[in-house]
Amino acid sequence: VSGEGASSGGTEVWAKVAPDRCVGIGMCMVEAPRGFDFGDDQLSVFQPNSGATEQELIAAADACPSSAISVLRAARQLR
Amino acid sequence: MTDTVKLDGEPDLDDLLSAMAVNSPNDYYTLLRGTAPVYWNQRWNGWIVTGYDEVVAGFRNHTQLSSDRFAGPFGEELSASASDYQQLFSFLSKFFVWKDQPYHTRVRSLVNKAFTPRSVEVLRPRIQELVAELAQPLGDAGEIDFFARFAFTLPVIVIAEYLGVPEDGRDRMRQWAEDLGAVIFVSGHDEDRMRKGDEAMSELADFLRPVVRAKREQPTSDLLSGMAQAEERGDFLSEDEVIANAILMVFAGHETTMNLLANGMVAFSQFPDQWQLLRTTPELADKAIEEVLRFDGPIRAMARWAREPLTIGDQPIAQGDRVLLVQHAANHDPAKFADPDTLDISRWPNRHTAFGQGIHTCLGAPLARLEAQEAFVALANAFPTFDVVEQDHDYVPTVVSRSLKRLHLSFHTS
Repeated sequence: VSGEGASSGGTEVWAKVAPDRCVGIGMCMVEAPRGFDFGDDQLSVFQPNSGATEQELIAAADACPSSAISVLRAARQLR
Repeated sequence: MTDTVKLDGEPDLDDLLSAMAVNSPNDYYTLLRGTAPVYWNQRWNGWIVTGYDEVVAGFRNHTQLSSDRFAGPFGEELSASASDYQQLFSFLSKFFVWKDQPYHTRVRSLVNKAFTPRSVEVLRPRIQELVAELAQPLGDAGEIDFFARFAFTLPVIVIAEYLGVPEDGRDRMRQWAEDLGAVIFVSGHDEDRMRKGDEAMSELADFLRPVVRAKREQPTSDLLSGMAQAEERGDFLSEDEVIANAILMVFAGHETTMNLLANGMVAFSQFPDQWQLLRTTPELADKAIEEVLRFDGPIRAMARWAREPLTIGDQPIAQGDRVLLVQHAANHDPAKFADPDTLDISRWPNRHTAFGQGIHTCLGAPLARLEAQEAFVALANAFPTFDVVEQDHDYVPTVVSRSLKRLHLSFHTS
């Protein structure tokens, strides 16, 4: 999963998009424009080290109509 | 509706409203898909997409495939009648579903928060209460009109309460919704239908305008207040835009859920073992609803048009061409779903296209799922068996929706 590397330091916040749930609605890109972008298949892809804040990523997870986004810091699941 | 058959006895593949297309869609779409998953329909004057991969690709391609009904080939059609039905078109043209980026996403993001799975979850206790109230009197009551007694009533109360629409309009809601549906779902523009749609739109707008104004002055916690306040904050929405999108939600919030509930009952009547399975295994509710959506969802197809030349599957599409993405056909594509014409509530994964995909994916999907889960689980729990009165099912002849003209059921408590 892209972004997992960023978490290896332990403090970086990162997100995962479940590919079997995402249908490409793009609400995450409204809430966290730096944190997510459409990939080749037009589904959402998390952008690691983009400067997206924890608050933005959590807002993106909460706004996802498909409950496809989880947000983690170190091993702790925030959403 | 005519059962168009060519002289050589072959069904007419270009007739989207033949008896076969309307009443036996699986047979019709299988023929179309077998001919070409992206098929040129001379009469509709556009491409009919019936392959799963092709339909999904079409839905996700919002940059090249436009949803704007007031531009391109659909716009030309509409503008011909727009001057005669000004109320209707003024409000229809503000429906955010029929807009492209960036406007679409701006409006959607204003209302999105109210429709996430997390947000609609607060409605579950009220939905359970309503379902119980509506289901209880159905037992051993003989033949009942399933639309009037359940499928219409449940979603219209839920969306009206959620939006904050006063109770006194709810009885008129069904007629308004029917008249609007005839404009929105049925192709062609006959005068009677357009006139009724225009009247329904005016009446709905007159009904909602004072409500929106009151919510703006004294907001409560409902969705209309949220939209009215967005307007207050100068957040893009004019009063007419708020009213138009409230009308959209009143309409979309129950018309489709109503048909989902009715189509689901027909599906379970054809596969009674699955009704028993849901009855004994209510934890299958989530999967069961996805399967009912796949098997016979309320929306058959969605129309788009090509803003620029593109390719779907192997088929080049020219700029300005119409494209019909047939969800019902994608959901029965054997290349994606094993045994597609069998209802299997344990089916998983089940990535159907009943809600569309991409940026226009159904806003109300989490609410529809919640209502359908609670409805089917409660009905299966209360009634071990039920019968369908109609021998043949008669569907409204439209290209884009899958709605029964009537459905009478008798529920048995033992």
